[in-house]
Amino acid sequence: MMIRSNIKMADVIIQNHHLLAIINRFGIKLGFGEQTVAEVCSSYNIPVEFFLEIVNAFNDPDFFPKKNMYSFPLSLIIDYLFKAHDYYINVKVPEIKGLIEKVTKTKDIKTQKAVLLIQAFFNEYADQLKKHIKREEEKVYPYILELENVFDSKEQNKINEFKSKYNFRIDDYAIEHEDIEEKLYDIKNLIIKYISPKDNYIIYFKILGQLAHLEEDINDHSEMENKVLIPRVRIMEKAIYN
Amino acid sequence: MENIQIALLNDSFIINRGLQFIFNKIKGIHLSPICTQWSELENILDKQTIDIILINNHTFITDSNVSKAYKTLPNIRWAILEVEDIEINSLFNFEFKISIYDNELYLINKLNTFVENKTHLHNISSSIFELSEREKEILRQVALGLTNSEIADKLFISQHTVITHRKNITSKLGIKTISGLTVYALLNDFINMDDVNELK
Repeated sequence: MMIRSNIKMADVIIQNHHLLAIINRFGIKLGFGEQTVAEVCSSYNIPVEFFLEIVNAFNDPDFFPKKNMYSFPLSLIIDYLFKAHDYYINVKVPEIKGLIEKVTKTKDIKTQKAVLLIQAFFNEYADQLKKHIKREEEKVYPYILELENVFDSKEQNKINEFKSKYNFRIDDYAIEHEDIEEKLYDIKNLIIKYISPKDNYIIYFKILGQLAHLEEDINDHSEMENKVLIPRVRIMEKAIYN
Repeated sequence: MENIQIALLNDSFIINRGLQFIFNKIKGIHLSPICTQWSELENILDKQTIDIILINNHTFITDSNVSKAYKTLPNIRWAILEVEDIEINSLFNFEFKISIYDNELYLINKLNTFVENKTHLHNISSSIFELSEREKEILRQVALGLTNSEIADKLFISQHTVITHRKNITSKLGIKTISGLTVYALLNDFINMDDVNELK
């Protein structure tokens, strides 16, 4: 279903509760009563078109990307991406780590051996994710924000200064995403296929649910980077360097 | 694998002919019958096996006979043809959705992927996913951290052969990363923890 500005915010969440994580990134709190999406957005000072693009992209994988995504300042998109990072590192990853830790306490030796391997794999994944995010936040995003600034200013001296400051192009970074997503997929796959727990079933369901949720969210996140952020950066780079 | 039989229910003759043209290019799907009214299709349903009904979203929402059929026909699945910009409650379950504004290439890709997934689910037994002895040997080496060229040297085969084996391993197991393959190899005792620790 397509989410529009005139439907109730409560209905948006009811039809897909995963969107809770998304509205949280906009700082929107629960308790919106009968208010529509437009009303809630305006009370939080969020451009409603931007909000709609994000939630619809998340809600329906076929929806992405739309042309009007191109009209928003990149700083808005980057701000959103920052908050998503925070959610992965400070909410999701610890949550999954905690759940895995619980199942390592099983008395069944064979399962325990398997779970410890999965735990090591997930920790490796989490470290890689952290590194990747750190690089984006410290290197890539500041570069993009400055590029947008310089590009908008159209001042030649600023452009020159920018050029001499960075010897870095967005395509140097665009490739790196894939491996991260594949690892998460592998972890899920390995648990489903090769762990046959004797106890704690419910915790395994939770782990798989959380992994799937994280995977979905991260895929959406990289879609936004690959289909919106990076193409726009390329356009600006081309204009500046030619 | 038999063809997936899709009945089309849509009231525009022109659009139906266009869809027929595109569906003809897809292997594994047969688009027939093509009906413009529910009553027409209903008569055929008793006589012919139909897997999926592809229906336009306007009719799906407005025709009460259709919503009744959605609930009562257990063996039929549904797909949506978007002709109007209207919403359908997300609780309804569809095999796929296409729009009359989709371009040809997109449609063909989408339908081909759909057929591929269906074929995979129905027709393949687990035995063909089992690794051959050679593949197990390659997997062991990959899990131990060897590169393609190291594996090639060690097993006296070409790098190209190693790559082919690795592709087959990944497609059989559905595991893509080296870390994932290592965990798989450990879980299934193709290698043991000491082998891995030795490496470090």
